[in-house]
Amino acid sequence: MKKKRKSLNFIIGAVLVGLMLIMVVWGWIKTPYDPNAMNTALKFARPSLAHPFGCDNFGRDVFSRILQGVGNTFIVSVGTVAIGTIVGILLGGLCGYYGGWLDEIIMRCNDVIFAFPSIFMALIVISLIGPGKYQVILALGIAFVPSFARLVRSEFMKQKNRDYCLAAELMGASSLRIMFVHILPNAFPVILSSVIIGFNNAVIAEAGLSYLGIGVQPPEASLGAMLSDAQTFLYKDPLLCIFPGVVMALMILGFALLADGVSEDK
Amino acid sequence: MEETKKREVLVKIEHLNSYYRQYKKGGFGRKQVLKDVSFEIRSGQVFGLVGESGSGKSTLAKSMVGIVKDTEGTIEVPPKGVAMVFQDPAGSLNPAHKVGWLLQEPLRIRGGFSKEEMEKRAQEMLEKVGLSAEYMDRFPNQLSGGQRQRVSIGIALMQEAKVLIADEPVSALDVTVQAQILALLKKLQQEMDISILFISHDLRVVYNMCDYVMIMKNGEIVEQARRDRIYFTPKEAYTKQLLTAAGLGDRIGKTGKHA
Ligand SMILES: Nc1ncnc2c1ncn2[C@@H]1O[C@H](COP(=O)(O)OP(=O)(O)OP(=O)(O)O)[C@@H](O)[C@H]1O
Ligand SMILES: [Mg+2]
Repeated sequence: MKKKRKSLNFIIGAVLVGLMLIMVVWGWIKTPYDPNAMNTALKFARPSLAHPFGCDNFGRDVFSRILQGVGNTFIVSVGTVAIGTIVGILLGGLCGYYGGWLDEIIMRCNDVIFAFPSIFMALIVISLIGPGKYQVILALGIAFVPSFARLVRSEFMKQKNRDYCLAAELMGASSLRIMFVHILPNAFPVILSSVIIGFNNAVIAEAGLSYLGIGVQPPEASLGAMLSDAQTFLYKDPLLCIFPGVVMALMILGFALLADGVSEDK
Repeated sequence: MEETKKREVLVKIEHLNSYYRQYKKGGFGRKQVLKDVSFEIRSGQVFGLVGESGSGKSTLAKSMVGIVKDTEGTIEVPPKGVAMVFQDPAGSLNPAHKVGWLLQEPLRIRGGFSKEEMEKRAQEMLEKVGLSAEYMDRFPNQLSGGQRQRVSIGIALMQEAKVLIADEPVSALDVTVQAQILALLKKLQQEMDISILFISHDLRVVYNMCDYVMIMKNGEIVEQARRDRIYFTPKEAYTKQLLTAAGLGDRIGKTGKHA
């Protein structure tokens, strides 16, 4: 009984994430219309066969913009999580493995960053390097490092005292080899599920920053920026909010279920 | 026995003291675990180390390979020539890698082997320790305890060490499997002419495995001598006590040629 529920979470999550990936690739290859092409005749057009999600206040095709927006959100999230994970694994691994003063210094810096909400941390970085898609990736990436570093550190601390690490050391394996060839694969299951959850947090954070107007810059679309624009017309044309909102909700749900499935699997 | 005397000395320990860092009121102190331990292991010798729990057997092993670093005295071991078989193979085999990969790791670390050669050697070793080639693709948790210990022995031998430290290599295993693993260890030792520091608290097993025996208590050597000397004419009261407790007391005093 329990076994069945596990796989169900995983399957639904995988399907939703799969759909999202299809949209991302579709948006990269070719959108039905130019997502930035304005057409005054089509302002606030209702959904139709030609424009399945209707058009926005500039008469741009919402479906095309969502395809592009999902792509941008995806890139920002992947970039953010990649920076957070890679730097987090390096720092957390070193701290957990060596301990001592190195650990003290790095983890205290970590605590300082961690003390701020990640959105706020990202705002500070953005204020230093300016707004934009790639700036957001860097800002959110930095904001995400501490939580990954902590996780990896505690996992490395747990693993390093096990006999297999001693055995590798006695064989003459270098510290780097022990850390990344012997310990890291054992830390993978834990890292994987938090990568997926991190992905979700990145989607939400990107939306938040774009909503504030400092993320992906107009006229380019991102789910957060679309929501922010649509808010002005919430009563006039609620569909403008609903479509990107639902897509984002499904995306987050998909990753959450996937993370659940992966961690339950272990 | 004459022959053992002529063999070269591989391990030479002189006046070894080992310490652990221990928390005491007001800071860290040093706790002495080994006290003035001296002995030699010669090539081809199976050296039995016996003592009750907490007597410092593992500490001695760890000092020899440099895991315990706070030591005084001389420790001479062949450079890169000591390999270790741990007590619990469930912990000493990396759960994230397959048996084949684990067997090849010592070669990978040493470097200079082609992929084919490493694979070939791993397969030969697997056979040597009594497992068929299909086990190459298994993860450690897909093996029984006995099979795991066979793999750990294989990994230790892949290091081509002259001295093998086996710290209670069978005490985590089923009684029925214990005899098989001990027989394997003995067979490989003779085939490959390696020395073994065999740590155990089972005097019967030590009798069957070893040709030289050292008894320890509270970090000190009680006595050490050729096996038959220890088992048939023990000098120390503590040794006699251990032998009696193991049900071997009736042998004391006999000449012991064929016990
Ligand atoms: N890491 C450590 N820090 C402090 N004290 C330790 C440490 N490891 C062992 N000791 C102490 O050193 C003494 C010897 O321990 P050791 O593990 O060498 O005994 P042993 O003879 O191997 O026992 P066993 O037969 O139970 O394996 C014990 O009193 C133990 O409590
Ligand atoms: Mg021990």
